[in-house]
Amino acid sequence: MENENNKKASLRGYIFAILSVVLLGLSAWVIWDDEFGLRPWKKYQQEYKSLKRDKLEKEYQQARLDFKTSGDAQKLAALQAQLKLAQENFRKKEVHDRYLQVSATFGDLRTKLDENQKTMQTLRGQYLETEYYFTKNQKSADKAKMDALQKQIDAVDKAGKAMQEKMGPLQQEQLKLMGNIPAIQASIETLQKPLAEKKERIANNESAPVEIRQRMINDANKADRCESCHAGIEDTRQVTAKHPYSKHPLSFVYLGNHDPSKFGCTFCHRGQGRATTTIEKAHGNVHYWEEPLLKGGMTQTSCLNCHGDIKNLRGAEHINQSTELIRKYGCYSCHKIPGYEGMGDVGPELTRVGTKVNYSWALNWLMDPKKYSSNARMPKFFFTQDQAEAVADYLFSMSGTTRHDVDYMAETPDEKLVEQGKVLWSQARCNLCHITNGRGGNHVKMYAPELSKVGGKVNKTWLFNWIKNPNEYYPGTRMPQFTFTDQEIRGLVEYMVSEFSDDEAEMNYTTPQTISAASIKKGKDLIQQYGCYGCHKIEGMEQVQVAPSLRAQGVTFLKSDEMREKIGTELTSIGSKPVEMLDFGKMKKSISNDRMSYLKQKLRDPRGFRLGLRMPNFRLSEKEVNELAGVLYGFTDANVPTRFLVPSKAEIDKMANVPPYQFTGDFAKVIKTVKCTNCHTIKGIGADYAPDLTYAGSKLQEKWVRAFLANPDVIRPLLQQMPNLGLKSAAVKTKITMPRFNLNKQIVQDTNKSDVDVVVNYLQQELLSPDIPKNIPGISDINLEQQVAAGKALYDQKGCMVCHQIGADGGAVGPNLSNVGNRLTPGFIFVHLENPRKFKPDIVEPTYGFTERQRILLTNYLMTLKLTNSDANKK
Amino acid sequence: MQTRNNFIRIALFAAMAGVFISGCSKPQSKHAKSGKTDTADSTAAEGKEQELPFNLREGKRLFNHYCAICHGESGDGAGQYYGYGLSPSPANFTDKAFMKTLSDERLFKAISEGSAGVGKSNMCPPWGKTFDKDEIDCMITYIRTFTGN
Repeated sequence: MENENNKKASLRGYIFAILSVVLLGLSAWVIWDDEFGLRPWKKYQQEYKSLKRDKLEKEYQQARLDFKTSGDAQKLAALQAQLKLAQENFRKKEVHDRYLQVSATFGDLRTKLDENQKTMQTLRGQYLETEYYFTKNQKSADKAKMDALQKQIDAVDKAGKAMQEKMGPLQQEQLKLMGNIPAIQASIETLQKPLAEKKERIANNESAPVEIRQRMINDANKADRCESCHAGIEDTRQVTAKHPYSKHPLSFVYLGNHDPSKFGCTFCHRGQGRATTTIEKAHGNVHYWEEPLLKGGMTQTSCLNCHGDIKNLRGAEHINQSTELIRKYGCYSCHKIPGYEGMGDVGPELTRVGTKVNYSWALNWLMDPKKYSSNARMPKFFFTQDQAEAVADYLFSMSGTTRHDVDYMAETPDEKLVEQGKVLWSQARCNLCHITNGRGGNHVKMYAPELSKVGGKVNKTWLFNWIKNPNEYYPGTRMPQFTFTDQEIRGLVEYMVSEFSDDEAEMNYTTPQTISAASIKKGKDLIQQYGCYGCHKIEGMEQVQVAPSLRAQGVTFLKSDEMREKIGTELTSIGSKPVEMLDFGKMKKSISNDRMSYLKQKLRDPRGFRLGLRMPNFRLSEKEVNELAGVLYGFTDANVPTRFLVPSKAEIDKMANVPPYQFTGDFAKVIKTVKCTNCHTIKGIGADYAPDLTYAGSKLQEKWVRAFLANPDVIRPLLQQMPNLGLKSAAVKTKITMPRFNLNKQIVQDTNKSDVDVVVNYLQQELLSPDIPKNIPGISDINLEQQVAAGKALYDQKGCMVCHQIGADGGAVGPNLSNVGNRLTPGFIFVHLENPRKFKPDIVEPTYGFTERQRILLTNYLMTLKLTNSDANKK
Repeated sequence: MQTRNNFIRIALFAAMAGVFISGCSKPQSKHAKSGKTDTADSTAAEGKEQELPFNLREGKRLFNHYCAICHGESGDGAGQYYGYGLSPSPANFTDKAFMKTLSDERLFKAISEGSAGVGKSNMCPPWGKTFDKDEIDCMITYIRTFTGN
């Protein structure tokens, strides 16, 4: 019996022993893991410290070497010898004793002065007290007391002043006795300072504690611990480029404007700020964290959370460029997007499209826009042949026409007209906006239609009327009205139709075919289903924009703007839409379930998630998908504290009830026909393709403006931004000039003034800048001729001719300066030379840092550069 | 009786152990996201551009805007402006031997003081007052990529 118990006991004993050892091991592991395993940041900080130590040591050794070789070491030795001598001198009995004596006297005086001051204060207090009682009670006894006290104060004051007078010379004698000891000591310190600083840095680095570093933003309930691993992120001098020890890129912009102690890290970078245990967790790449770390260029989407204006925001260039895609593809037509209200239509009005295009062309276009023009913005709706015919039938029926095509290929063009048209085409510089046969279209943001095959698309009558007055067919168009004569337009039409013909155009309806009513009805339904009216104005469809939910209840006619809804989902805070509310449909398993992936997939293939989706495919490139997804991700109702917000100028004006700027009077009429703001910006309205005219009144001389507007000339031969349209071979010869709008000949409607008068008037009155002085300062020590010569010498020395041309010499990067004395005002040149970036933040001209004198000399020289009339004509 | 108790004890122990062990989670391979774009577009080169480190992207942007007009977008010294016949021609940053002789400090000096500041012609203006040190560093980093660094 006992043996059995013993056996069991020993078995139990073994198990117990093993388990105890395991438990001990586990406990040790727990302690280690808690202290080190779960705290990888300790390792990173220590590694950073050692890297920094190495770098600082190296610098220190280098500095010591430089100190020796540069001769500073000898200087130091010499100074130290001098100091020793001076100190010995000082220690001589007579000097030393006298010094002690003087110091003692000085000390006594000092003490006495202190007492004197104290007495003064007491007396003063008593005086004020008496004064108060006197004012209150008006007793003569108080008055007498006041006077007595005043006498005492005066006496004490006098004594004090006497003491101070004695102290002055004593101090001076002290300094004299010390000789130049203080001076030598100061010099020694200055010499040793750099080395001492470097040594101090090493010591500081050693003593830096290894601890969790966090930035707390209390009101946003954020605790960002990113710096626990990214130990070098706030360095001003980079220790190493290796992650995670590198410093923040462009820190003078990002950290300089957003102090990490006030902003933290995660407002911009997202991620999970509080996590410190693993990289994946800290970067938020875990299942339940909806805001993973933004990588690379994506980080700039966060700029949109706070900044209303990102146009010239340094550090937001990438996202700024990306927002252009919203304008390009017109997302705001179908989706409500903050800041893009009231942008007008993306596509032309279609009410009378039957009078404009060929039916076959319309069919092909509806089925695949990119087949006609490779940079077409209209997306592909994947219509079948029947559907496309139905839509085209409806549109054509609105003009009361049949299905028809006009084929000009069979006709022989009038050669004379074609020749005239060709000349006018190049004079009017249509290629500035329109691409034809791979050339032109440098003004990309106009998104003007490609005209390479326009001969197979439109009919001549329509084209004639269009060029004559574009606003009549499509009131919101950007195409300007050129006021050519009828003959000129006829020539242009003839040229375009014959030159830009389309050999492969289908012409199936040269004999017209009537349209069936059933087809019209089908087309109308399709248009309502797919929402063509979002981008194109179609008469009769304005009232169709009723909220789908109401339409389902049979409501078809609401006039109030509030009832209208855009066909697409509202994108106001798509960037913070909860992931559960995003419909991944059948792609739920094939793409990762986070917001960014959803946005990208949606842009790549809008109808891919499930059947029945209506958004068409825009055939975006991968780059465009990434950029656009980034922009959309930035539309959030992010809970940023109000103090972070930087409202745009438009928002500020709205809050202050300042109406947005509008052109007035005759100038408004000119703008409406000529559409200057297609290329120029005026008071913040318009494009940035051509120079900003907001301050043109102060910048340009009136006479020159008149001559230029009548006959636009070449000012800037080369683009300053490389075009990205593959035009490298042609670009060297391309010159950018303003089209001839025939402004002299054109008379503003209802007035007798010519356009030029109106424009010049407006310039002089409205488009002024207070920053441009009317007169520049003068130099009095040399006369004007010498100043001009000095200016010319400076111009040559600084190498301005590398970019600017004067006469036949010089470069073509910046404007031609041959006639600048007639073109620009001296005030503008003077201000421009100080800071070229002031009026145009992305100008290529470098800032030289001229002194005022240099600027005056240069301005005076440049103002002498004038061309006479005959020279101007020769150019 | 005792063996039955033992049996109950062992069974209980095994059950509890099973419960605890199953509670351990696997490493988050199923749900973790890499944060990169998903496989469908990883091959697209354009999409990759955004993955470049900031210094290279910013350097590229600055270079293309300010320098490429003379030095060319590919850094070979044959920019659009070169077509006008610059003499001496702009520096060729794709020449490996040439670039090897230039340290980062030398490049910094050339950019901030202009070509005149390093003993060459005055064709390249001094950019030191236009750019911050960080920006010039970004440009140097980008210029180094022309020789495949």
